[in-house]
Amino acid sequence: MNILRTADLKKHYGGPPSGAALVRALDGVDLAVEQGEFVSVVGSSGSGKSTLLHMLGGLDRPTAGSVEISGQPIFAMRDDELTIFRRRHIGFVFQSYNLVPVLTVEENIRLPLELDGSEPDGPFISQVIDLLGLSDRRRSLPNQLSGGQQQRVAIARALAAKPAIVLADEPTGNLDSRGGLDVMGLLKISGERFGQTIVLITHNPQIAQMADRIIRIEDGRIAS
Amino acid sequence: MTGSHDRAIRRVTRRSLKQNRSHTLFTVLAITLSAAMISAVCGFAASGRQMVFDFLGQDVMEAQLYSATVYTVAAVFGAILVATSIIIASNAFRASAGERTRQFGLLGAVGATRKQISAAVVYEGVFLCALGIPLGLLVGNAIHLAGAGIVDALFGEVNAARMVHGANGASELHFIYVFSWPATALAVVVSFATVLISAWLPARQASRVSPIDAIRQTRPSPASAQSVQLSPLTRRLFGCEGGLAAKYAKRHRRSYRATVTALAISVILFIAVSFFASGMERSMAAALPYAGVTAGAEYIAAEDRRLPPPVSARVADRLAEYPGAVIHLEETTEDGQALTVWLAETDDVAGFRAYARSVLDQVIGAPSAGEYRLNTYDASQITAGQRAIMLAVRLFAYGFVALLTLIAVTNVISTVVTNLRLRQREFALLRGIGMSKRNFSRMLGYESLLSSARALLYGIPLGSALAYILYKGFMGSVEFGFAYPWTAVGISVLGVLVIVFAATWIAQGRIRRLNVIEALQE
Ligand SMILES: Nc1ncnc2c1ncn2[C@@H]1O[C@H](COP(=O)(O)OP(=O)(O)OP(=O)(O)O)[C@@H](O)[C@H]1O
Ligand SMILES: [Mg+2]
Repeated sequence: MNILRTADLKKHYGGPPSGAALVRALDGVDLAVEQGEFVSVVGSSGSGKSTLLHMLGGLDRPTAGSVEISGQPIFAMRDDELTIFRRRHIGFVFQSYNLVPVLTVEENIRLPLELDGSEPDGPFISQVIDLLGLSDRRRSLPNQLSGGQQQRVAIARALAAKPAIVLADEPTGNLDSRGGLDVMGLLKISGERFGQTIVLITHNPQIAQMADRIIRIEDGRIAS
Repeated sequence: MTGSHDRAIRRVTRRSLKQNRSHTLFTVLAITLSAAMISAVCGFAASGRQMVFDFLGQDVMEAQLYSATVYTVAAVFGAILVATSIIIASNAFRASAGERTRQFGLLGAVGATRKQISAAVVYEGVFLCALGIPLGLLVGNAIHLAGAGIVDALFGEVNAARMVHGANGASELHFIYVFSWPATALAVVVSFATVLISAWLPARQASRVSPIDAIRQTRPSPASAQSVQLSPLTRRLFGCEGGLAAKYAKRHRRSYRATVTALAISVILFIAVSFFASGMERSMAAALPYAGVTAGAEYIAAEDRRLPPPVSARVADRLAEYPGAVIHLEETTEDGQALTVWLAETDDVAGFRAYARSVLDQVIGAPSAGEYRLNTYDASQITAGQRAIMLAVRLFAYGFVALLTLIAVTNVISTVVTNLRLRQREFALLRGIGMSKRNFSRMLGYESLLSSARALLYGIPLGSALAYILYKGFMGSVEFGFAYPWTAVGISVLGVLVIVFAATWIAQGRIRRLNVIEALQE
């Protein structure tokens, strides 16, 4: 069964009304991902990978085309419905982390759960924090962390709610090769344990190889 | 949605307020000051009304007239104040709107709904008001108390000289502090609404765009797309830093706008209110043509039964025969009633009144009810009362200018500080790529000059226009020429430059002390 599905997905920036040059960040993407699949997305810088992931996660509205999750077209939902759907079913790791600067590591990780008003699974969260090597950093603020540590906080936050889908934008970009492999191991374990579907962007061929399938993006289209 | 959902939101809001301590402080200060001003203005209006009624009695026509004057003045000032508070409070929030938009974007990205983001806004507003409004009411009542004390002390001299005589044997004017619930409620409601509306605007902006756009803050900005052209003159005058500063000023138009708005409003109000105050002073002199008037006689009848001019002239001649009396004759018509008044400057009020009575009875005949009325009265209460009220109003107007300037100054400092703090990273980058501290100061100096000039460019014409409107609408009834408020304009130009440079100097001191890496990490 396809849990994720896009049809002729387009996202354009700029263009006539704004006066800026038209950028076709996504130019007709048809993609289907099966339940439980681990997919990696590769492509050169500026090819549209992040844009695609934002659309899959319902974080930004496409110019044209649709995204269906479990057969439900997500952009047909009202804004707040989509927000609630997102926080319950999708874990997102941003390329630029997007941690809330005034919250500590642990508070950042629990934030999506607290916003949803659901009971955080304490032991599970502690386990994730341990596995990501953040145990002695629980009470630090994001600006006291290194880039790699911030990235790991962003990963922990995405996993905390045990979402059905994990979308990760270069989650290993700021980690050394050892750290990168650790994160991949964690994602795989979590994926198997909770039956999660994972879509991961990476520039690292070795990491891309660890996925079930590799999708290559070029100029806003799927090349292979 | 229950409270537990919003615990996280409240935590984020509280922490942000705590982290941006200086901004929070200035915002609370702005709220405090505007609440104080509103409650003081309302309080003074209440005291003024009390004074007039105590002195002249509730149902005397003059009392109604004067208390109406008090209310009109209070209403004009109140309206200016409310408008200023709204603009200034929303300005304080606008200075940090970019930062807040980003924060709301971050929260939206991890699953905060619009409702939760509104909750954050309301929570922040309540928090700021809970600090600012009670403080403001305290300060406002203190201003009211002190102001009432000063005015009452002034009246003490008037009272000691036994210059005034009121109704029911009242011979003393008192301007006392009265606590007024309506005034208090008005101050609370206006301040609270102002803060909520101002806080709401960036939240609405953030909830309209996608979280991704809010985080990137990609709002269409025409200035950023087109290349920024500099005139050769700018380059010649200000060198490389000037060029850089001009580029930043053009690209950062939005962040400058808050400062420029705050300054322009201060200038507008300063010019208009100074004009108003000095106009008040001159109209005071103009409104008291018969400085020595102490007694009056009047004849009131239906319009078609008005007194023929020869008769009123004959009465005036007869009244002038009273030893030492100087007579002023006035005739007016109002609401179908013709009024003829003889006002007298004399030392002996009682004697003149008795004499006037007999003259009126002789020349016009004893009043037969329903057709006309003859009156004699003690007129000294009018002029002295008028003078006292004018004095109070003048004090009030100048006090108002002073406090308004204070509000404006806090606001300007707050926007400058916020603006520079938000750009800390950018400054660190510039320093990181080799800009010296000297260059940096010159760049900021040039930026200060640009925003001052912009503010004056808007503020002076608009302030003059507002002064003219006040002149036309408010004092049109009193005769005096329109004198352009040159002094106020001069003070504004100087004041703006001093305030902007001082604020920039204070704010940049902090940035200069930070090292490049610290600033980049913030
Ligand atoms: N808000 C925006 N406004 C204008 N253009 C944008 C915007 N966001 C992205 N783009 C453009 O869309 C294209 C795709 O961007 P995207 O971020 O998806 O690239 P990417 O594949 O993730 O690159 P990288 O590997 O460097 O992260 C780029 O050309 C970028 O300039
Ligand atoms: Mg990217």
